[in-house]
Amino acid sequence: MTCQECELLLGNFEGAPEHLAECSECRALAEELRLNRAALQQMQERPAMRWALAAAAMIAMAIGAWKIQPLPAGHGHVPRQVVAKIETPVPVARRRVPRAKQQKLEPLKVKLLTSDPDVVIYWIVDRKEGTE
Amino acid sequence: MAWFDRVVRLHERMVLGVAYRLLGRMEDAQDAAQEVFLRLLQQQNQVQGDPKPWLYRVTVNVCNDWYRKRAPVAELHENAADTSPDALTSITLDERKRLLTVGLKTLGERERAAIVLRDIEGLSTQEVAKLLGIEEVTVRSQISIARVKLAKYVRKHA
Repeated sequence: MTCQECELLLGNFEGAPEHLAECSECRALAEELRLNRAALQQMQERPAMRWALAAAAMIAMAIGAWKIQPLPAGHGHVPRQVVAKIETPVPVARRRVPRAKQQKLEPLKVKLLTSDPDVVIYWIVDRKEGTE
Repeated sequence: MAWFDRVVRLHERMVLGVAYRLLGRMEDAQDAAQEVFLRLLQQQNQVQGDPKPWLYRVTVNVCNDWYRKRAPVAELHENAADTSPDALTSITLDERKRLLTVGLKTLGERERAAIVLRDIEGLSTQEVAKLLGIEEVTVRSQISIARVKLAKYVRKHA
């Protein structure tokens, strides 16, 4: 067995006793692997996240991302107040402005063409206040 | 949002720990962890059952993307290497951990992810293969190579 073949086995913590008995280099590597294994097992750290900062950043990013790509309708986790804001009927305020100014409106004349070129219907509509 | 809050509080340390091991810098790991939870917020309807495998997978992906975008800067400074044979036996556990942390950065992204998930996080080879979307035999080979590389790195720099 070559040292290279032995390394592959040692990497999987499989034995190559005959080779190890005669190769000090691979023996040292095997010992290093064993010590590293123990050290790696102790490296499972669970550092605390700086939660306040992280949460603030996440909320800001989430709002930005949500505006660009909103979650599907009916999704259980969509904040209700945000949905309500979108559904606010903004045009209502716009309609009220012209209502006060347009006191007298000209009747609306609608010309209706029929399939018969000799027959044309004129429809005169009295426009009430507030209609456009 | 209650589900999201619960998942974050339950797994934030795990995500941060894995990200730290993969990136080697706490600041980068914090950013990566935030990215992972942002993706969770956006894709929570795709996460069914235990979110842990999804979090592991996305953490590895985010860290790999991070690694490709910017060359990571070593947080721990490498000491001048003492390659004398006597030095091998005298290093402490803390020193070994420090060397392993730096050594992880010398590995390829797949090897690094495999060894972090297998040897540090303690997942099975089967679980690692599933998370990384590769064959078990490939994972076994990557881990074996990574362990040997790390062992040689520690020997060289101890």
